[in-house]
Amino acid sequence: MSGASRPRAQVPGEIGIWAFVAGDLLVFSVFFILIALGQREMTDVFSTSRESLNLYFGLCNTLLLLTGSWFVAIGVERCRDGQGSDNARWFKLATGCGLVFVINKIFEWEAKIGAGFTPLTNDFFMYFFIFTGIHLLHVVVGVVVLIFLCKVSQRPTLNSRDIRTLESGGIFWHLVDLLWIMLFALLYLL
Amino acid sequence: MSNYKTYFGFSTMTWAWLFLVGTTLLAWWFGFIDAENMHLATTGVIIAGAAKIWIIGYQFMELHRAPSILYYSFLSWTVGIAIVLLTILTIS
Repeated sequence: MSGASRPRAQVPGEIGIWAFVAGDLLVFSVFFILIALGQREMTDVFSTSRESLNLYFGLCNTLLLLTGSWFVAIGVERCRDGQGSDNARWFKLATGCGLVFVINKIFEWEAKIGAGFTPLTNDFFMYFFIFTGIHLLHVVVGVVVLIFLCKVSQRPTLNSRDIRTLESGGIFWHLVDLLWIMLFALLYLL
Repeated sequence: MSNYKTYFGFSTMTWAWLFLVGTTLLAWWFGFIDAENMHLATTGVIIAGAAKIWIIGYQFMELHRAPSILYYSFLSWTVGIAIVLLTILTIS
């Protein structure tokens, strides 16, 4: 679809959130490339280390973030279009997905550390703990943002500023989701 | 493009989510491909990841209604990172 064929071009959310998205995508691009280079240079170490990961933790967390994003997208859309009476529930559901992700990740880390794998074990586990740790920080911030979006969506009337706030918060949550998708692919699936 | 359009009873938002879940399961299956077809599996995993990222951007982040510069910048990053990763992982 070309840009010219779209009827009303309008920046979703605030410009500032897109600047943040661009910066974060660049930083995570470096992380992705480092993992890929590690995979290329130390294939045996990476493959052996990957076998000790529990794929189901990764898969479950991916589905949680995708579903959370779906809830947020529905919530933002309904608030903007003035549809529904309890749109905060969509943000509450997404918050639940985020919290379960955090709990899942803590259990996963605990199991790995309990089995003797730490960031000092090898390059794979160094990347695993550091990059998923930085991502986890994003998820925690995202959960706080979602709680704020719950409050905003409960206001009796939503003005254009409220809508932009909801869109911006939603974009941040979707960023958290899409960064995890490539981390999941590189750390768990290769 | 309105997300309230429905196709076979589901909104475009729900179809996007179903596509994302389906592609996740497909990428998971690629992870079980044996070592002899490692390049095929790697290519499948990276392309599935890039496709999911694009759908999240296009549908959930609403790039379908964004100005062209934002739309094409995001598309360029998605395609670019996929090409770089595939080059590193599959070209000997």
